[in-house]
Order: sequence, then structure tokens, then C-alpha cells
Amino acid sequence: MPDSMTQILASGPPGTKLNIAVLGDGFAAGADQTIYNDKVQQLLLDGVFGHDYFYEDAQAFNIYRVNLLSNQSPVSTREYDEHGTPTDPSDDTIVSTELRDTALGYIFSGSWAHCWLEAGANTGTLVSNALNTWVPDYDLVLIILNDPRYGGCGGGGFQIVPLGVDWTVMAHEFGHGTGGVADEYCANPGSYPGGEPGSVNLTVNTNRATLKWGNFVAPTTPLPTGTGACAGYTAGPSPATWDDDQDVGLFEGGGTWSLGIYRPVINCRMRSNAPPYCPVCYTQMKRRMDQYTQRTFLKSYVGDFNGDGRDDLLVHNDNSIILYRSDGASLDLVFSAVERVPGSWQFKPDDQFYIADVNGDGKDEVVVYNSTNWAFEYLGLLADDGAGGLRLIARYDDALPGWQFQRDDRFYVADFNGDGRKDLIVFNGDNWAFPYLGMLRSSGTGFSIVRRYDANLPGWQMRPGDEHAIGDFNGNGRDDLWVFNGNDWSIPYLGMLRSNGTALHMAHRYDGAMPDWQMRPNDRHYVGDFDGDGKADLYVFNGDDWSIAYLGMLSAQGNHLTMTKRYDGTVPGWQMRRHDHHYLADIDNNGKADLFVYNSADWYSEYLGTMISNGTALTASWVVDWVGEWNLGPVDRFEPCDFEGAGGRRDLIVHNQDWLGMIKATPGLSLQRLYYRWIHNYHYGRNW
Amino acid sequence: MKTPQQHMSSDPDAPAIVEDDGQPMMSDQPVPPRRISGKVLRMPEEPGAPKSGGKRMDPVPKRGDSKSPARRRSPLPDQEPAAQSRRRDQAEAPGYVRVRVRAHGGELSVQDIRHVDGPLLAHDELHGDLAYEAALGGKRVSSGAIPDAGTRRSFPSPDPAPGQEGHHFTPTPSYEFVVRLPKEVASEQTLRRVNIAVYRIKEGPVPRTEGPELLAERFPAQLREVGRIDGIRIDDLPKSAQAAARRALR
Repeated sequence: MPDSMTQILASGPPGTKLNIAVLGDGFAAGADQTIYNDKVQQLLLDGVFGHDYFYEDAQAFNIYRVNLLSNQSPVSTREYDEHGTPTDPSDDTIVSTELRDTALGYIFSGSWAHCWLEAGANTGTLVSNALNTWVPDYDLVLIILNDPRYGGCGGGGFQIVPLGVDWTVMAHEFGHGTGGVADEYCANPGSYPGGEPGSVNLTVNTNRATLKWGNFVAPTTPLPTGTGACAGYTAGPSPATWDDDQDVGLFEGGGTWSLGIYRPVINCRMRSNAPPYCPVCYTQMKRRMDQYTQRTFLKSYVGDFNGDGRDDLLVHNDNSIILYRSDGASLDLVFSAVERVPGSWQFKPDDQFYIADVNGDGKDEVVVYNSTNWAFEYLGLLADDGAGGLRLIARYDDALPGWQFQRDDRFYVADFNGDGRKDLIVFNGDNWAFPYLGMLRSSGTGFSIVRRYDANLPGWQMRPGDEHAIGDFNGNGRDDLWVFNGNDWSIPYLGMLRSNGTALHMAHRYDGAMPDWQMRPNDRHYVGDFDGDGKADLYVFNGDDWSIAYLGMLSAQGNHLTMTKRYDGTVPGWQMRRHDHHYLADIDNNGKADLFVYNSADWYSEYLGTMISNGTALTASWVVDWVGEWNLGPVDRFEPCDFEGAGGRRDLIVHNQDWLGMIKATPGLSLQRLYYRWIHNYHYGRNW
Repeated sequence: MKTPQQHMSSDPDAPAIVEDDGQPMMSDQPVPPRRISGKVLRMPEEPGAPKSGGKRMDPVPKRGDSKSPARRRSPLPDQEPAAQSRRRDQAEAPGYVRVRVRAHGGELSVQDIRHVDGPLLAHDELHGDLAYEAALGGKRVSSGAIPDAGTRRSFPSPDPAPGQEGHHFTPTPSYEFVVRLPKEVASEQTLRRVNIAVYRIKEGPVPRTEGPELLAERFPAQLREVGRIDGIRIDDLPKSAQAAARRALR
């Protein structure tokens, strides 16, 4: 077996990521390679990148594992006589050296003052050759030596360790290498002799007004918070809720010194390895790695992925997803996947996500489709992995029986057979000689086609410009299909197609006009049960084709529509404009579909409003320009949801490239939480 | 055209905003059909079968049809990458070179030069003690931190003897760092005009900046130059690295 390289974390091109190369020394062919591979897995993927900060930001890194075959095993060793002065290597003498023919020629000594190990005569060249041969680019190098003892030597972007170290030590050392954060422990009993340190997590400054991490210190926290050699909380009793690694103050001792210098928290990972990074170190790592993760909040999706009644958040970026769990008032990261999830689904930038409870278990699954980034189209179904994350449970490559995927397939979530499991309706009007529509039934673990319509639906000739909506207009528990075409014919058409579970039947077709509504090409439709009778009704808005904007409320009567209310220009409390955008909601949780409405284009400032249905009419209210600290803008995107778990859909996730906000609409529109660049709940303060 | 209203009225009975008084109001009258390519095109009540020809989907297989592709079961193969466009000119493909530099006693020397495929983030935040900057014609083309340089640090002992608490630091006589240069400045000829400067960061971290302004001009109080190479010549590289460097710069 020759030497080889395996990329075990593939986040992106090496020039856009921080690259970690892993080499092994003293591992022969055969079983040794398994030991080496297992140690890499344990230290890095399960250890450093399986916990807190590095788990969250794995997308910033590539990891290349190089398997070098040593002719002999284990690594060379050396024994020193330290002459009773273990801290002074200058008087040490070599007792014995056992040299072996290994790939890199390292010699492990187990002597702290000798950095536990040392390089052999040709080690530098051998390491350079291995890196140049196997790794396209590298920033950090981890070299694992085949010796069971504890130790490790770092510096210059290299960490050289034997098998006896655990991942927490590596996470501490990576804090130096990736974030440039300093040690916070206090091994030296003396007093720090220098000036203000350059690192973000040490200071000699005790002035609250100018303290470099002052933005993370609560006004109620005394400064200094702890004084004396390597102090804990000494300024009185600590608050009952005080957290030694997440509550920030000013504690004497750090940078290896016990006195005269201060650290931000009592016990950060930069002090004792095991705790997570403190807010100061975490924020430094996040800022440093932000350009490598290259994340935005643009592709954000909501769904209740754990079935607790509160909508959570899925954020997709390039080849990664992150799941954030809602506790009703804030979001916390529970799952981060880079490149793929077990199963496997490999994420790509053009993945399209559809969130729905496909198996009827009360938890939302994720249907993902990609028609552009691979050699052919893929459809995947991701479900709860039992640990808060997702795994692939079904994948269809290029086709599923009866439906050949194409680039412009459009999917709609609909429980068309009323079995409590969300199915899919798929339409393609662009890539074939004529349009196709398929009904894909969910079995809970996959999809199968129950009916395909080629060119025509019953009573409806399909055209490329057909637009679809889903809603159970006859209240029989099965989602029906609404289809509108305003452009491909001389007059607009709207069809209501009833589902019997396995097929569609035309219930009613409107040619050019609905009751009290003249249809026009730019009609926009929103299907929701606004009168709470169990039948999906229709909101229709047109801001383009008339001299004023119109909004109609058409009630479903089983197989047809009647006009409940038409608003000409104004809903009480909201003056309608051309660029109004509507989002279906149930803001007052009464089972009657309401609307969020947003306009960022037609007024001097942006307006966000609610339109509450009482079954027969709407009343509106709005906020202008700001929702709390959220500065409304034209780039904002809105996702109606229920992150509070209060029932209905009374909340909004608002997001753009850099910002994500949680907006509540009850009792009025207000901002619950605001995040910038990343989602993290600081005990006090924030990262902007 | 009326002057646009600046602010939405709070009056529940506010009048409608007239967006375009050249457009009609909605009425009870049917909208006259528009002509498409000179014809009135209406959807038939019962559409007929499509005309033959054109690209069609395969028929839906009947139940029990053994030719039907079954859903794929785990373990699944990797998804198949799309073929790269063969027409893409090699010169258009993104790439960069990594220049490994050794600092020894204040002297900088290039150890090797390698080509790397793919895009490059040429600028990094400057943190830690040292930073580098590569410049061409007085303009910065890349910059980044040199973390953790100049010392070897023994890991703390989990069960230290007195005096062995924490790291044991040993200064190293030399250190290495990597300078990444965009492909556009990475020809043998251009490299002769590329300068590499090493700065000590007196106050940090220095924020990441994208522009061409030199770091020493942008952050004069925070940075002090401690080393420099004026021009990179392949002949100055170690002999063993020269051939690979020339290949990387083709």
C-alpha cells in the first residue's frame, strides 16, 4: 500500500479556507494505519470539530489526512537524564536513543523541557516533501507520532503530538493557531512585567470605559472581578447564575502569569482546555474565520424539526447547513453539517429546500432538490437522525419511477391524499415538448408517483406559465391544487382541481373573471382558510394592472368561490400600493388565515404590517422603518413561522445577507432577537 | 401623474392611492381578450391530446414493471460531479501560487513556490505578533498573519512537577510562513518586482482590509517592518526548488 491522502473535511477550494494537513510518523502499513486513522478521527472530526466553536465553523476548514507508511514502528525514542533540573534542558544528557526508520524521523523523548520530542536530522525536508507531495495548500499542520505517551510541541503553525493527547488539548492549541488568542492560565507565580498585550483576551487595563472586552461585561459586574493570584470571583459573592466560562469580567492572572495581568473569564478553554471558548475568544475566532466560512443568512428556512411545537431554523450556505433550535425566544445551534449528511446527501449552492412533515411524525423533514450542480438531477429526503440533526433516508438520482427530473422542475408540498404525510406535486413547463405534472405520494420514507398528467389536467391545458398553489378548498382533508395562468392565453384562467387522493378533477374553472373580480395577468394568489371553516380560501391581490391596488377575499364553498370582501385601494389601516408583498400567517391563532404585508418600494420608508382576518374582513396595522432595532430595508426577506410555539403562524424570521431577526406580531410587531453574521446568545453584550 | 405620497396614512378610511391614472378601475365588465400573435387564444373546455413529436418523458411504468428503477438504498455512491467545460481556457481557470518564505536572523529567503488551483482570499485579518504583505508597484496584492512564529511551545503537562506548569517556550532561530499571491502577479517576470514585507504587530488585531493601500501606510502606529524581500528571483531559490517553481509559474 503506497502513501496516500484523504480529504476528510472538504469545505471548499483551499485558497478560500483554512487548511489543516495531518501527517503521521512511526505508523507502518497495516494495523498501524488503522490506529492512525482512528486517532485522526478521534482528535479532529469527533473531538475538535465535534464540539462547540469548531463544530459550528467547520465550514471554514479543509482537513487533509496523509497516510505515510513508515518502514518501522513505532516512532523513535530518546531518554534524557535531566539531572534533577526538569525545567532546564541545558544540562540534560542523553541516556539512550532508539532510532527507527520512520517516514518523518521524529524522536519522542517525553521530556517537557525538550518540547516532549525533537526532529531528526532530515525531518524538516521529509515534512516539506510530504506536504508538497500530498497537500495542495496548508495553514496548520498536525503531526501524530506513534507513541502512547502524553506530550506535544507546537509553534509556527505546527502541532506535533503523540497518541496520548486528547482533543481538548488540540482545541486549546488551535486557539493559538487559528484565532491568535493567548493562554489564560497562570503557571508562573510572578507578576506580569510588560505593557498592554496584543492579544484580544489579555489586558493590564482595569478601566471599564476602555477595557477591550468591555462590551461583554454587564454593568452590574464589578471590575476587577477577581484579584489575587490567578483569581476567581473575589469581588463579593458571585451571582447565582454566574457561569465561570461564559460570564465576562476581569480576573487577575493570565498569559501564564499569576498577577498583574487580567483575563476575561474564570475558566476559558485557553486556561484549562475542557471548557468552551469564552465570549471574547469565541468572538475573535468567529471574526477571524468569518471570511473562510463565507456564510450569509440569505438562504434561511423555517420548520419544526424536533416536534416541540416551535419552529426552528435551517440555514444553507454553499456546501453546508446549520440547524438552530428555537427555545421560544432565541435560537441555538444544534446541528452543523459540511459537504454531506450521512446517507448521503452532498450539499451544493443550488440545493432547493422544501420543509414539510413527510412522515406524519409531528417533526418536519427536509426535501432537497438539485438540478444544476451535478451531472444529473437529484432529489433527497432528509429526516431526523435521532440526535438533533439530519440524515438522508431516500435519494433519487436522475429520476424516480414515472418522473424524469429536469432542470426546471418545480415542487409543491401538499398532503393530497389526506393521510397526514405531506406529499409532493411536481410541475415542469419548460424542459419538455409540453408541460407535465406529477403527484408524488409520500410513504414516509420515500416518494412514488401515483399519477402523472402529460400536457393536460382535467379541464385545463397546461402551459409553461402556469402558477400553482395548494389548499384544501373542499375541506375533506386532502390538499387540492389551484392553478392560474395570466399570460399564456388571451384571458387569464384560474382552475380549482380537487384531489381524490390519487387523481385531480376540475371542480371549477374561472375564465377571465371570478365573482366580483376581473382577473388580470399580474394577479397574485395566496391560499389560506381566512374564515376558519376548514376550507382553504383565496386572497388575491393586484397592484399592477389597475389604477389602484385591489385585494380580494374569495371564500371557498366546496367547489367554487364567492367574494367575501374586496378592498379597493385601502384595507382599513393599510393603504395598498403596487409593490405590497403578502405572506400567509395566522397571527392571532384563531384558525383564520391572516396576512403579513411588506412594502419597501413605494413609500418614503419601509412598512411592515399585519392584516388580521375576522372571517369576513381585514383590519390592518403597521410599523414603519424600524421594528425595534431591525432597520427594515429592500433586501429583507420574511419567513412566517411560530418560533414561540404559541400556535398559529404569528412570528416572522427576517433575514438578509448579514442580519437575522426574530419578529413577534403579538400583541404588536416587535423584535424579539437580533443576530449579526452569526447566531450566538451571549450572556451579556453582542458581537457588533 | 400625482405626486407620490410620502407616508402611509394612519386613518383607517384613508383614500386609495392612485398608482397610474392611465389604467382603468376594476369593474363588473369582462376584460376584453388580448391578442397573442394576432389571435385570440382561449383554453378549450376539454383539452385534446398533445401533438406528437418533441422531447417527451418516458411513460409511467406499470406496476411490477421490472424495468422501473428502484429507489437507491444505502450505502449510496457519491453524487456525480458535472463535467467541466472543456472549452474553458486554462488561463481563465482560477489559481494562485503559495510562496514559502523562511525568516532567519532578520533575513528572508524564498524556499519554494507552488501553484494551487482555485480561487484565493488574498487578505486575512492580521493577528498575533507578525504579519506579511506582498506588494507590486506600491500596491498591496496579498497580506496575512504569521501566527505562532519564532517559538516552540511544549504542551502543558497534565500532571506537572513543580516548575513545569504550563508551556515551556524555546525560541527558534528561524521560522517559516506562506505568502499567497494571485495568479495575475505570479509570473517569473512579475515576481522580480514583488516585494514581501514582514511586520511586527505592535497593537492588534489589525482588521482585514481589501484595498491596495500598503499596510504600513494604513496602520503606521500598529505595524513595524522587521524584514523584507525586494523581488523574488527563481535563481535565488534552493536549487532543489527551482524546477518546481518554474513549473508553478508557467
